[in-house]
Amino acid sequence: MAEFLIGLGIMAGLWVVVGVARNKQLRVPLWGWFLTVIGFGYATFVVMTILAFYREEQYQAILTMGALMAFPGLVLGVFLYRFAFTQAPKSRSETLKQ
Amino acid sequence: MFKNEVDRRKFMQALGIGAAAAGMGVSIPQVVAQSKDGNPIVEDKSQYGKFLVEKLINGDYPYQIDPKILGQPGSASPDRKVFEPFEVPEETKEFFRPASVLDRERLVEKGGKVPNFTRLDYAFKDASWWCHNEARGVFPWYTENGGTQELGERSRPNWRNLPPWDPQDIEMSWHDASLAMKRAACFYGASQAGVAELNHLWIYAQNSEPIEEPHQRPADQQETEIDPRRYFPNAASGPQTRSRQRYIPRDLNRVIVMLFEEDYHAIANSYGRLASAAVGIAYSRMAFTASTLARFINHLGWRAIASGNGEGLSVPMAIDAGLGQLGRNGILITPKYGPRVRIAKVFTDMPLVADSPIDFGVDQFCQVCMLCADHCPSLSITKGGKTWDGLCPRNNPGVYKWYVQTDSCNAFNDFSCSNCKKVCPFNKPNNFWLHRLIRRTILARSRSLDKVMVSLDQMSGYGRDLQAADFWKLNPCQTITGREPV
Ligand code: SF4
Ligand code: SF4
Repeated sequence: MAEFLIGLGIMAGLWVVVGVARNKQLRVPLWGWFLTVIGFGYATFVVMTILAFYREEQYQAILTMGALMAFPGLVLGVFLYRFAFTQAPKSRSETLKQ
Repeated sequence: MFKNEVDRRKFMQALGIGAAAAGMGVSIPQVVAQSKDGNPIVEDKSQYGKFLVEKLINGDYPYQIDPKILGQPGSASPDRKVFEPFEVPEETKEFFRPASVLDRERLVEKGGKVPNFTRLDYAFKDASWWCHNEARGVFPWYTENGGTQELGERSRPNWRNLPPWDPQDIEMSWHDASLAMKRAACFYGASQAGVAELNHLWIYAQNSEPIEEPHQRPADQQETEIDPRRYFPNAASGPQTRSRQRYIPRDLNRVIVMLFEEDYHAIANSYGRLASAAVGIAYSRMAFTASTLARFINHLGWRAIASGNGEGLSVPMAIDAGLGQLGRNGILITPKYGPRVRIAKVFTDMPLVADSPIDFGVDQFCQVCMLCADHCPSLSITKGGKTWDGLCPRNNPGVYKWYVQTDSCNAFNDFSCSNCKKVCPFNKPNNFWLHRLIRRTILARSRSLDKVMVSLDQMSGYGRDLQAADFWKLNPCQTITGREPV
């Protein structure tokens, strides 16, 4: 059940990211989407690991391993936000209309 | 001589194949690669958990001996000066007092309320030993009339006067018969079993059949008095006279070695009484299982002698039977249960097919991991390198290994401590995919990778104490074992 909910949460997260990119009309390069999918895969891995530690009652491991494993994810997130999910430069016609 | 080299490239391929196959949920071939020495690297979930194991099929062993130094080991025999003076650590000094003093203090003076040593914990521990102590006749060490004195007689098959069983009668090979004996061992209660050709070097000197004829020792060696209470303070019997002629006949050239897993949570209570209960119940299972298996073999018309700790060294026999390797803590490390096992054996002349010894990277891992040495309350485990010489009179020099100060270990807390099992990184349940994933990397024998794993293990808080009060609150049937999750 927990695994199902985690899968659902991750899919919902990906859905939200796609939605936001559309609404804000962001032009995300292909490598950006590729890294995003990898990032979500990694997030699944981290959450599943934390769940397993929880089931093993290793609460210290949740904190230390969780923090350790979350760090690369955070770096990837910031990188994608900064360089992949950026506002597309306005096209020439749009600029002329103004 | 064993060369501990694995072809890294092939190993990585094996790792990849195994991980991919495991991820897809498909079964993978048992032999996944070959080592540089031509030994197969195998994966066998039921035997080795998720470890990749190198099978030493070329007559190699995962240890080195110097035949010029190595003699037959002595056991706790009365003519040896068993306890030499040793350094007692200041922090744990109180635990070196005699058992009777410790027990009285905890149970009477403090009203049985000392955490981890309450009356509940004590009663639990003593009860777990009951079957072993009552049935100690099944272990020759303890038999009233001199135990091993009658080994030759006791081992003789006499069931319905039938000739020795031949597996070919029912179209079985001796290989199948060996499998059947291991199956029987597990049916009777062992967690795992293996077969080795018996190396009589591991038999205690006083249980070893003299090579010269007649099979008599000089008169002054024939009888001796032994007081079991000297070694086992709770032993029921007083001094006994034992003949020194007891021996394992040399034609008993096979040994079936059995492992008995100890409870993960109870061992985590070390050095509280619950850890001793885990040890005690394993001994009780050993007594029942080893004697029943010996009886089974007798009924098949072959000779068999059941043995617990007596008669010979269990650890090297278990290594020879392919059940594990020796760790820095001086005990057997198994792939599936780590160091959390007890060992019993049955000597027999049934011509069983021996298993190959294994190597799954323990030696290299122990070189960088010091956790057991760091957590040993009696300072019995060395932080240094391996040596050929022992540290105390009870050590048997001539094996290149980490020797353990057994005197100080035994004197600590009335023989009751399992810290070196509790903290060992190999002591992990087999129920978590991350442990299984890490197990697959151990055979890479990479110092840096091993160091990272030891650090992560510590950071994650493994090997911590479990208070007895918390143990008693666990779900009654909750257990984390090395067994595959059902
Ligand atoms: S059982 Fe292990 S940790 Fe405990 S005193 Fe003996 S060697 Fe040290
Ligand atoms: S605790 Fe570490 S050094 Fe000690 S036996 Fe286990 S792996 Fe080896």
